[in-house]
Amino acid sequence: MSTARSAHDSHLLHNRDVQPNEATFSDVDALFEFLRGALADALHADSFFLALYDELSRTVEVVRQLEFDTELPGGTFPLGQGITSEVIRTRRARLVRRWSQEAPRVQVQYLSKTPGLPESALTVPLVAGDEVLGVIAIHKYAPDAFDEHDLLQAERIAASAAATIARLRSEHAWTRLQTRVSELQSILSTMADAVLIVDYDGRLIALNHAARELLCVQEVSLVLGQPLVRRAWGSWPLGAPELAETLGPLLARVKEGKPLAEAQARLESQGDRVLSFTATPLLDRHRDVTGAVLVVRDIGHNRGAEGAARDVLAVASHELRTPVTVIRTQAELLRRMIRAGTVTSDQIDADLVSIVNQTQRLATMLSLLLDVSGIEEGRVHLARRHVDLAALTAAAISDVQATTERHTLGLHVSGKPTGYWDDRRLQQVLANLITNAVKYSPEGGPVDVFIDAHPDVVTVRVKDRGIGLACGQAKHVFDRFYRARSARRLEGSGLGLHICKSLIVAHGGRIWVESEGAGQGSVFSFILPRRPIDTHVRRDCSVPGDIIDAQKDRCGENQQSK
Amino acid sequence: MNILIVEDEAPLRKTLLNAFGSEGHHVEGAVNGLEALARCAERIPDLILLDLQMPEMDGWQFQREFRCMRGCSDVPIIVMSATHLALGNIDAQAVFEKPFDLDALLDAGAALLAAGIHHVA
Repeated sequence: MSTARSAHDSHLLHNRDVQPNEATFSDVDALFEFLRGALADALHADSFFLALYDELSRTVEVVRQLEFDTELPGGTFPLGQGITSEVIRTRRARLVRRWSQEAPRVQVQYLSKTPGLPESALTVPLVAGDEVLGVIAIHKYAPDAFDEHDLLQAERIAASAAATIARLRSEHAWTRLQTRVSELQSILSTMADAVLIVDYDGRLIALNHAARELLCVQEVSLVLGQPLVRRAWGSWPLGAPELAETLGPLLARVKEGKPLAEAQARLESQGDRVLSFTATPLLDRHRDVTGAVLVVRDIGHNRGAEGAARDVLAVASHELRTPVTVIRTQAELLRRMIRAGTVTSDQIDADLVSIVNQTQRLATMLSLLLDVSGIEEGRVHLARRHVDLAALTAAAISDVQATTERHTLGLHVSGKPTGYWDDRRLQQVLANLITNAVKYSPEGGPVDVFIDAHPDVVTVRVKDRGIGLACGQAKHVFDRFYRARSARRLEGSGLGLHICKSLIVAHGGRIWVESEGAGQGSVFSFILPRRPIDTHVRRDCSVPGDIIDAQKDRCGENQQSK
Repeated sequence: MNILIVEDEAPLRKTLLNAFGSEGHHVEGAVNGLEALARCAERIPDLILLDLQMPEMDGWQFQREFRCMRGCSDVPIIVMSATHLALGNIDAQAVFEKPFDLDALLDAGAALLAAGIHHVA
């Protein structure tokens, strides 16, 4: 790609007549080459990528990308808050003239000879019908490189490209491949464990939603291709030096062909938080290492089970005191008044009702604590049976609706959301999420629950227009006792969401929250596999093999295309 | 005598209002430090019963701002705390750990009010 802009307009004039001849594109690579000429070269872009979007797993797959004519590895990432994700979500093209001032921060960038980050960007969705199929994006390091005229041109080209992709998708081979990729993405996105996939040089080529959450890159634009071991990425919110020190030797061991390597990184900047990494090599047909799959687990703040038990006890001893105090003072006051003969039977009755209510509150807190201690010890037993999630949700909604007149609760179901789950546990999760949605919408208003049944999974979203979450809060709301310091009550201490997360994870699913910011409402979502994911069954069906093969194929494709 | 009860837990606030009210005092309630400061600006109480952990403005912050108000440096405060361990820095005449004995709290209140009258005299 040329960096000169002098021939810009003549290129555009020329390209106005160039429309992709659909018949000539037999595959995505051919389309990519066309886009490179018609868009990236014509607009003198420094870098360019073509990404496809998988709605089911909400994953973006960068199929191919170039910077200064050098092919960089593609990869996948879950929908986040970066520009690509924004364009997919809004289906509207975005023109950025000065990225450093008007667009989301970029935490991870390419190793490139040019210092700094691209200032100009043009990101256009590929839309066919009512479906977003992907995105094309061009960047330039100089500011003000693109204008509205370029945007229109890019949108015209994107419309043709989307039609081509839609046609390719309907063809048999593409569908088969895409189904496998989609399955793989579904599994990855559903996993509670954070998964990163790196290529041979340690460059990040894929990560799942949990990884995005764990590594705190939810709110920033993320550019794939960054070597994980590079020390210079100090702007990564977690302790970059500690991560680099841990991952370097770990990846070296994997390259030597070690079947499984483990390491822990202690992040002092994060209050001595400890992350554990397990690396497995990715092999090609010749058994050569082409990269690695890293599973990352947050094992807390360097405290064992004792610390967790202490947390539970500390909150419990504090929070249980309040209802106990109410019961005791009410009983004592009642006794004083009875002795003094100054009490009416109505008052005795009212006070006793209040005392009974407080004991009910104590009982609720106790079962919450028992749930938590059970979860801490890994004891979550599920009584699975055939469950109609729509009926279960309707019942939960009607229970909560009965408690409020200011909120309008709605249920929107697509498909038949049935599966093998523990209905009592899911009812608990739904009640918690819907109650929260009402509680955190103090002005009243609509609370909508959306259930979408897919072939293998069911997704549930609880959307409110309430107080929302401040930037950075979202990733912590499922932590144990997240709100303990600010909230006074056990019911509001965040234990409920922590329990929800544990119950969804026990079902093999994943739970997360999205909010546009404080005052913008929140959407709590969870995704559940319709049938239990049993590791033995999976092994029998050789699914893990397929996963690795699929990944291998994709890595292979990327390399061949260079 | 005027007593201000600062407690966000409604049933407890109500019970304490009844208990001190039945002793013949004029009692008012506040749900947090902010509301308590507003009450104190209208009329300085003779005794304050103060919870610590409350939304909006907690007991520690209330106590700091209250002590800076004119004529409020000597008003007795009884702290009602959920735990002795996390009491922190607070200028109070008595601390009752929850769950407390109501008779003992009423006695302490009476004693502080009597001492306050003595002090003024």
